[in-house]
Amino acid sequence: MTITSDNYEEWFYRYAEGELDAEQRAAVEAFAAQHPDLAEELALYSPSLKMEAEPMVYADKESLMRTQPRAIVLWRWAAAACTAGILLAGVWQFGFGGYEESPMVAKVTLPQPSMTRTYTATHAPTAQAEAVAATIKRSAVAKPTTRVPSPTLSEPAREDETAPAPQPTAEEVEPQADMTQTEPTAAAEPVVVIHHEIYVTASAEPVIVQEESFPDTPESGIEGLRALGRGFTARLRAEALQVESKARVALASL
Amino acid sequence: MTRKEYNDTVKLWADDVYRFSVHCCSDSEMAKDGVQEAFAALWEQREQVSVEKGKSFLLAVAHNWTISQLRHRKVHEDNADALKGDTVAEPDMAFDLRDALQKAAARLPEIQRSALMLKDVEGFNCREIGEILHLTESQVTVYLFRARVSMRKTLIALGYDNNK
Repeated sequence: MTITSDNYEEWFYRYAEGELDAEQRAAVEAFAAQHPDLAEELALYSPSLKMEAEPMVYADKESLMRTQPRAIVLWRWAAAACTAGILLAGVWQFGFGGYEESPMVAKVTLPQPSMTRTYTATHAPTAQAEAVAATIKRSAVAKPTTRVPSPTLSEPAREDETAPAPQPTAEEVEPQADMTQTEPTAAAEPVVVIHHEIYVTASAEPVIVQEESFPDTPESGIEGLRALGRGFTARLRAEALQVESKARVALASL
Repeated sequence: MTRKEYNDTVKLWADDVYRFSVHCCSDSEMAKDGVQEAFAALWEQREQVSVEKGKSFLLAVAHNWTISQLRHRKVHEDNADALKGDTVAEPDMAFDLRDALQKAAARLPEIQRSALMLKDVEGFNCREIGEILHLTESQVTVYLFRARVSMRKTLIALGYDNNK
């Protein structure tokens, strides 16, 4: 490559930085001798003249970190929202309607997307859900013949609502809504069923229906809900109030 | 790049990206935004960026972002005073010479200052600097040459010639 007035700066740079062989260095020196005005630039070039590394600290590194998987956040929110719905339904039943006189079912709709990943409960058509409500209302007014020792709030929802439920006996009571039981027997144990329908915003059909069943006794199920309520945070209470308004509308149609 | 590698990159290079951004724009607040933009871009493209290329990727994004902001705002004033709040004093270096160097660097055209910063402070070679600044290697050598000549002239004018 020939040194010209168009490319001399690259040659001067490599010359000053010691990147040229002997032949190339001689070519640069010859060019500089022929162009004294440009040679002044070479004389001014100082490889030792360097910018100083100034220690600087970016203080807010935490804000750049990615430590919380989004799925976990959604899962936690979804779990909190579901808990709010369960509790609100219980509070409504006990606090607004009164024991025994009130409907035993709260139908709560949570229009929250992305909750399908959290729950595995099966979906149920609206007609079936209403049938569940009617059945529970009838069973709830039946007089209990036995006491149930403990609440079963953590009992998982039934995924197959068309399957026959076990017949309750005086010794062994299944605190579960019974779709096949159209007329409660005298031995039937009253139960309260919190029936959740969770919708995806864009869908008209509930994609998740979850039911929580527990004995309808103040000492067990309702007290269990109230105990849960004592642990509620202010944020969940605010969410619960929103759910309550929806629950009131839903309950009016039962 | 995994999540852990990304977070390790934050710990390792956030300070350097911030320093480079400050030198690019002479505005500490704009530089902080540049750092956030750079790491946000890295997170978005973490599957395509290797750990080894993480720093040069960050510097390239930070440079492009700050320069676009500068061009948009047309900010060219010497804002060297803003740097003082973010720097740690080095007692082993004369303050006056440091100040003169900062002033000389601040007077450089942006592209020359960025190239010089990447060469002297970050330790990249001309090919790597070209990748970051989207220049050919020859262009980088030209900018580096012009930058050092210009800084020398400025230091002489300020009375701080280091006499090579």
